[in-house]
Amino acid sequence: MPFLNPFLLGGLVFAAVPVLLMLLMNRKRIVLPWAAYNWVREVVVRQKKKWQIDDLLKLFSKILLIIAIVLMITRPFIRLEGVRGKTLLVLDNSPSMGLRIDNETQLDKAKEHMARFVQDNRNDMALYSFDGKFDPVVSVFTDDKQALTEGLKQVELGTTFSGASTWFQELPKLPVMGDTERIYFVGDFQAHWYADGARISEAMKVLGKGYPLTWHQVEGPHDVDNCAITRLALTSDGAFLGRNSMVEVSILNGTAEQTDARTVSLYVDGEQKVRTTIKLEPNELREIPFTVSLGEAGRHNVMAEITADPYERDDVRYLVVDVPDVLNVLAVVPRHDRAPFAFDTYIRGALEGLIEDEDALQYSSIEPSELLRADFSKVDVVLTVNMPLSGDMPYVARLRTFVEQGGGLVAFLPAESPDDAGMFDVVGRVVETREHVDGNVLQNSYLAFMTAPELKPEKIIFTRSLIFDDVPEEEIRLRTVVGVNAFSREMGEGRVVVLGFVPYQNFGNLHFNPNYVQMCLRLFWEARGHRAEYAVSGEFESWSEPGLARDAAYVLRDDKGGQWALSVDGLGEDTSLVLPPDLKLGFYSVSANGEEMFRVGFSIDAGDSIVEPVTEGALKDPIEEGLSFVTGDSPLNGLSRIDLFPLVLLLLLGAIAFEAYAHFFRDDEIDRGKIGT
Amino acid sequence: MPEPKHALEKYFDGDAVAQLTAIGYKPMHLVEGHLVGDHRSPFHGFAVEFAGHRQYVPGDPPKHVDWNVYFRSGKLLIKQYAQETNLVAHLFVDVSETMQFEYKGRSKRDYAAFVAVAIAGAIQAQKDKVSVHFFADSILAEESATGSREVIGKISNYMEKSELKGDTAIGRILSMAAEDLGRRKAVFIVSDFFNDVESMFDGMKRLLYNHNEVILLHVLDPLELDFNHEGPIELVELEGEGRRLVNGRSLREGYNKAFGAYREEMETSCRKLGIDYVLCNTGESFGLTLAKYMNTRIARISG
Repeated sequence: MPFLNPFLLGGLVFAAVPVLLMLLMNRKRIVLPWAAYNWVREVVVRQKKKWQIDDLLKLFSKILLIIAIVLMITRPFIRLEGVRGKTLLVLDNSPSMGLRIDNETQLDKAKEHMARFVQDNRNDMALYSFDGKFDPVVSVFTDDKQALTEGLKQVELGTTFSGASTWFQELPKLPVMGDTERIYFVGDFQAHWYADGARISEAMKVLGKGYPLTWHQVEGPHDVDNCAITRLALTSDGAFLGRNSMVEVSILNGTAEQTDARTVSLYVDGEQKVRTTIKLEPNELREIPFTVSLGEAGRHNVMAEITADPYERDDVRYLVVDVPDVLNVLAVVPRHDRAPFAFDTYIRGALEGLIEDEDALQYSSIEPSELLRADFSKVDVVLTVNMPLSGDMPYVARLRTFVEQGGGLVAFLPAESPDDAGMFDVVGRVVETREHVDGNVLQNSYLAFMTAPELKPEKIIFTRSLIFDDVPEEEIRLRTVVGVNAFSREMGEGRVVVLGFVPYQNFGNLHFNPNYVQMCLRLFWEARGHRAEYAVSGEFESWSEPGLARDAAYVLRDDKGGQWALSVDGLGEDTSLVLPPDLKLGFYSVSANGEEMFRVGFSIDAGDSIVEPVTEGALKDPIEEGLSFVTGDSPLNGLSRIDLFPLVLLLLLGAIAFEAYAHFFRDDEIDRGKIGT
Repeated sequence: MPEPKHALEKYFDGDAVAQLTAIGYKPMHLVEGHLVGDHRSPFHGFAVEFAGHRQYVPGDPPKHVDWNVYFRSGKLLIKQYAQETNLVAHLFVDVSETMQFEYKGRSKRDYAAFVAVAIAGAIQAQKDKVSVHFFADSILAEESATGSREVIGKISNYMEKSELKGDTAIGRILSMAAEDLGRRKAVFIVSDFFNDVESMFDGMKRLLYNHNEVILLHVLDPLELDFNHEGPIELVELEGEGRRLVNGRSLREGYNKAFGAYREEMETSCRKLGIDYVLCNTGESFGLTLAKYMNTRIARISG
């Protein structure tokens, strides 16, 4: 007989306690020479048998009571085969089911269990897969075993995942639930989704206490040696023609064991560019920066890969980087007689130093007075330094038009008047105190590198700057302790980066800081339109893209020749492409009327990468609520359970009554002369 | 129990004896003694000395008129006798094995000894004689009637030194004693009376037939009266080979019932035969028990 708490069966040894106590008491008896022995003899002769029966009854009742208590806490149950009723089969096809053991995935094993269940049961069944959402496979109840078996074969690994909460939330919404009388769910039941027994037992209330629900856990290894690439991204330095780019790969060891040596490789357009070997400590998340040449201007497929382990799907990650063409910068810098250098001297120097190929940077400089006549046709980014950009300046309209049509603007504003920032629809204020950069805000921006101790962020001091109010948090790029000092925002189709200081030595020492040089590069990467696209599972159901035309033909293509026509959802700027479900991982391109619009790398989310099966102990509460949790390949798997608790309770009450009878009522009957006299 | 004051008088409790003496022991009926004493004699001119005549006065009982003289001389004279005699008390003390019983420091043997000594002391103090007979299945030792205080030492000494052995045969002992004691004596029997009730009372009837006054002093331990021991206990028979391991709680009801019936029978039989029954609970003060009994007696006689 199975027990919910079999480890407590050891409590049965306590059944020996009454016997031991009786023996002990007999050993501890006293010996007394007795004068009135005749009367003792008389009573003994008359009641000896009754005493023996009484003693046995009392002993037996105590033993029974202990056994009943032990059974109460060990919770025996029986499993019933062939319970009648329409059965909803749910097959877990979440990413972690891709874990491969002995050349067989967990999904394969789950299918075998379910196929056996289908063959062994005569009830009508419907089949759904679950990878964070329920997908119908055989959506109506049927006793057609062939259809069910075929349906099982069609189920493939999904890319999304979710836990027990979603399972219970979505389950009642299934159309078949109205007719469903029992549920059989096969999966790997990862601990990080299913270990919260209290919440699961709470969620189970949607089904009702005692609902015939069976969770069958496919047997899987514990502490599996698994590493996941959790992130592949271009660093915020960006990608520039003629300059090596920095690509960052984050790798997580999801187990409590140190990993073997693993090779991490980076591929650009299918060609391995760089690789390294690592060993990760238990639960370590390591970020590995790769410096790599992405090549010519245009879109490049970047892929990171780590040596395959049992869970393969998180061992590879995809990214598409759009390397822009030559960077054309037009600097608008006022002359200043007292200044030993032009205000943009340091900026230009930084750009020319970082973009090594001189053909990749076209930098020209004009006076503000020349701005109205300047040719913006070949300009990517306009740089203004120490120019007030208030709404009533004549050249402001020109700049605004340039930005709204897709140009980039980097504006270092003079800290002269709050109105100098008027063009950007913000309220400015002049601050003349010495203020340090707020490292906490830098953490969330592309200027986060400034917080590195070796770069001495404390050296960045502003003695006079322009502070902006009412800037949304996501636009903030730099903040001193008194407020926002730099922000970035979209204006029309272009982007502006606005900084409330001028990089001139008399106004601060920012440009003496090595941070400054790198910051310049990032400003231009941000101000210029760029794309480095990737998506992960769970986010790749639709793709937001403003300004999509409903009459255009949008087509999605993968790198293996597959293609899907896409429909447009939404209106105006708030439009998106509806993607087909269950796309495989890899690179995808989207074209409009035959012309490629963008490309994206689609990777698995690493949220399911900590592959650790839940143990039965963690599900104690749900099991008490009626959940049948079965594991492995036991022939009893998949069968509903009947808890013997009521029977045990009855046994306990019987034992108590028996004990009471043996100790009180029977004695009372003896006193009244009914027994033994 | 009081501490012994003298080696030979271990069981002599002066306070108790003084208390009992103050109350005094008065025989319920006429007694036949050897000496002139405080107690009324049944004799009318046979064994006692004739004291002379006196003139009849109205109110004198006519049965005391000497009719011989009247017929000879025509005078109404009343005969006078020495009417009062002393008391001879016989103490029968049980020294059988069952009197060895001891529990929680209480000993039936000691208790019986104190009782015997106290009664002997009190009777001697009122110038009466005491005879002591120690018995088990036969009379093991005895001391003839004496007014000497030595008898107290002898009781004390015997009870202390002698080995208690043998079964109890009260009925037979009393039957035999009835023949030897003669008539109109006070007979105190100190025992636990663990014997066949019928045979015991056969012996007592013989004593009563001889107009002896019989007083039973039933010495019992509180545990014998109410078996309240909890838990397992092995009982070893004192006058036999029996051994029983019993659970005290289980035994209690049945035993108390059976023993209660025995005691009830004892008391009923005593009541029927006019025998005084005194329960001597070893858990209580013997002096108090005896004093209570003596007082009750006095009240009965006076009433």
